[in-house]
Amino acid sequence: MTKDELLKGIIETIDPMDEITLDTEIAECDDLDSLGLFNIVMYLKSKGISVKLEHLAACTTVDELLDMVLES
Amino acid sequence: MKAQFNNVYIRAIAACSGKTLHNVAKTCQSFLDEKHAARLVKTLGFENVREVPLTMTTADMCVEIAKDVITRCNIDKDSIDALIFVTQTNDSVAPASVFVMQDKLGLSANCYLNNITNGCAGSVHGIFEGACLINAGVAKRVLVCFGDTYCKVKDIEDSDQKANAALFGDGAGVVLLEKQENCAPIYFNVQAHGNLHKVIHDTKHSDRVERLKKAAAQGLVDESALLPYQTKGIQIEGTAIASYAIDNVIPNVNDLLSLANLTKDDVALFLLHQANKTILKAVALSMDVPQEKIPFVAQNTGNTSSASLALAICESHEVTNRLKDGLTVLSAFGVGMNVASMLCDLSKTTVLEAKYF
Repeated sequence: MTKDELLKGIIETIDPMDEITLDTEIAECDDLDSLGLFNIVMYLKSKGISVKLEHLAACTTVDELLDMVLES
Repeated sequence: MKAQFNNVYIRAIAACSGKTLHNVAKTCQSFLDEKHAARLVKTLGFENVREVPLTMTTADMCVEIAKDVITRCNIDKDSIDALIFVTQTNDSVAPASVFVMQDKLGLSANCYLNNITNGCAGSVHGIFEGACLINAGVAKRVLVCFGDTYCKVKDIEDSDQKANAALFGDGAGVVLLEKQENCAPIYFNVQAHGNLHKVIHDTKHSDRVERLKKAAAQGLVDESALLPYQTKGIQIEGTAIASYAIDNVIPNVNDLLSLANLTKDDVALFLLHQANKTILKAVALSMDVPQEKIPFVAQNTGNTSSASLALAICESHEVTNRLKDGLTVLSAFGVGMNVASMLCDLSKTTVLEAKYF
């Protein structure tokens, strides 16, 4: 899966109210609160990717989150 | 704790909630803008939460619908061997609410009473307790009552977590259990994870806090000892609850199915505590079960704590009809943390229409 595909899948999953880009800061984005990140964990699980919620929450930006997922 | 009972029949289920509907999006606009209020509704799934009149307590609700069950099932009150009441919202510390309920229901002095403090897992926990009494041979008929007055709409100003107003509604439920030889077995899997006791907590009416305050006033402890208890209202770690559902509830349900030598395909309905829509969606995805088998039906009621399963059964025709399709798993989880699941056949159970006060 490419980074773009992953970002698209995540955006479709959480259906955000505000635009999400690679530069979006997770802590500042309401759509990426605990339940938003939880939904991302579930989406990744459906794609066979196992990531812990706390690891996603530790990322600063969406770009960092995607890199972390692709490396896992 | 796992158990199988072959002589316990779930004769009837009743539930109630409030007539007053609070529109969640509108309620949340007192502390969120319109866009974020809409987002909260979308995430949690509750469009409305229900509230009973302030003059009514959980015990009152249970007494009213217990009377309906007694009338509908045409049973002699003196034949009720035990009354179990599970709640976090007792009328008072002393006496326990169950004594007052015994009085109001006119139950025999020989009726065994048990007042249990538990939250969202309380319904199945209470049914398990009742089933144990029947299986032990000491009771033939048990009334299990449960619920909470947890609607937080009026507490918005007095809470650190205002979003709780978008979550909780008032509700109560009653289940009548009877001894019946060779009926369809009921399986239970009841687990507790006390190491997660901080995930949900509410220090209102806390003896520990009152004693610490006195100790601090007398200089026996430093004031800093009170810091963990200076929150207002119920505190919830949403992420931890969502993770609990995946990490503990699903394995609990899977172990329950193994106990019964069954698979998820043998179950017609997985009725989970209506914690919120996101969690139920996640459980369906994780268990690889179609969403319609793990329904979310509390959009106009709210998370009614231990009443949520009974309300789902009594309110939703979709759920009531599915009970007749085959076996049902009821799984309740929450504060403690704890999870209590049961596998049963409710196809012949009398389901009373939900009542609203």
